[in-house]
Amino acid sequence: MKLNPLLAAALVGACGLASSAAHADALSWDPSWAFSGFGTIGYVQTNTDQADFVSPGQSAGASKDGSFNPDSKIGGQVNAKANNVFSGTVQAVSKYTGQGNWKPSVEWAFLKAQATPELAVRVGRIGLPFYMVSDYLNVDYSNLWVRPPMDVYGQVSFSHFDGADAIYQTSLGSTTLTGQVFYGDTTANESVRIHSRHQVGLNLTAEFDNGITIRVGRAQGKITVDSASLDGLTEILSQTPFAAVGEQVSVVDKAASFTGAGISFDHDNWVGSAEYTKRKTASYISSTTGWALTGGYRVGKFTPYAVVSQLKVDNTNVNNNIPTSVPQLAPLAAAVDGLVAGQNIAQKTDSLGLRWDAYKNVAVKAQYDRVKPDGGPGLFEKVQAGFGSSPVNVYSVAVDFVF
Amino acid sequence: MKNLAISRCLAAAALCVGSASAFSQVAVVVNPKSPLATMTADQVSGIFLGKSNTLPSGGTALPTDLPDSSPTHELFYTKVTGKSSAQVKAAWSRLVFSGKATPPKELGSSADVKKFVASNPDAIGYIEKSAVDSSVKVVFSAD
Repeated sequence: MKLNPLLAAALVGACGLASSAAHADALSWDPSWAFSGFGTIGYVQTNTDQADFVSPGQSAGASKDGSFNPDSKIGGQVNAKANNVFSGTVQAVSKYTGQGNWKPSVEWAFLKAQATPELAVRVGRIGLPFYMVSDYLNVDYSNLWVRPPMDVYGQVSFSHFDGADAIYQTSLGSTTLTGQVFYGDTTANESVRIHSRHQVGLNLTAEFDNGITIRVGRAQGKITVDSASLDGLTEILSQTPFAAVGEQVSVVDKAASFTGAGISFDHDNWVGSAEYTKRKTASYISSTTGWALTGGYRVGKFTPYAVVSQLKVDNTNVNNNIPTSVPQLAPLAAAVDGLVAGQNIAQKTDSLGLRWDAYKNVAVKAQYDRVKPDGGPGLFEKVQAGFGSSPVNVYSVAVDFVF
Repeated sequence: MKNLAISRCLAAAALCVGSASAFSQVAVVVNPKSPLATMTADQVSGIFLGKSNTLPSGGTALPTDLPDSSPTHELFYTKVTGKSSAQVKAAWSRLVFSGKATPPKELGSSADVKKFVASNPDAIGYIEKSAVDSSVKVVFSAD
């Protein structure tokens, strides 16, 4: 993790602010630390052998052959507090990766300065707040579903960034308002590595006392995909009259943004959420809209729920005008078409599930999803010819725990 | 026969109400030197659900919890925050695993809570009302 001078300056500034704002006794050395952990043992099976159901970033998962890969994970976190102002958090998570192993990754590693009761500055590796439940994306126990709706959460697999943020939280009557600004760089290890540099973002949350939370957020940055074959294709295209197509395909320092709005409620025994998100890029990675609606009703320790969601491709971002009639160009035209077709992640999902709070820190869940890919692979991997003509049934059971 | 059934029901209900008033009162307590006189249910919930880390008097709150197994724990969260233990656990898991807040310090008994509150000016805790004594000050109570 690199710490660039700007971030170092931010930390120094935050420390200064903290020291001047805090009482002398608050800065006394009063260390404490806590370990906590979370995990999921989840099993998924589908009714097709033509594709694998995966979690974002993975390249292999469940088919008719069931798999523990999509949902299972284990995480541990250490919070260390020096005093009322300075604290640090490290979180590591092991789950099945895009490279096909369970290598743990450091999701969080930040120092936090609570400069005033309202203002906190964090520097280091911080969770990327793209979604409504980004903060506890890996902590399935915290959420109603077996997994967050993929039609929204499958759009971007970045989960953290290396940088800094500032969080301002204040109360207005019984409403809690939180504003967050962040800046940093990030990498996601899918089957290829994807980087996003100079990301800036804003996140606003209002939490009302009747159990309603509203959130809007926006982030933008410059993304790059490390792929020799992709670089090769754009390099060849640059030597043809169709260099413009190559430029549309290329993912080297391309502008990308993610915008989202959501609302969640937990009132009396009704729980639910609605989330609407837009992914935009200036590359062959398609621009998409994802939304999801969840509703559930708590009956004692049981919460049955239903979800409808959709992921649409708004723009392929590539206008492939390479003529297929010219034999030398036909393979290039086909290669571009293939890339674009692979980016058709459009799909619709209807889900039914049940959460059972079996024990004080254990939830047992079962979920049925009916996924309808819309003319492409959807969010499935290892897709074979003929896939998508009929909806895919996905059956999941999971045991989530925190300790 | 029918009347008998009804009177049995009433007797059972009366018993329930009777026992409820004896045991199911929770007092939220602070240090006797605290400038706080009273707090609202919203203010108390805010602190115990991690929405706020500040006391209405301006200090950084030091909340203390009773174990999940304590009946007062369930009673406090149900009556004051309107949430079950499982909901509270889920709410805290969201805050803890995003590094946003640390949960209230868990102490073993009401006696421990009183001791902690009596020795920390910004401490806040809850105990059954019958355990209240002069070492702490009641700022909110729920029946």
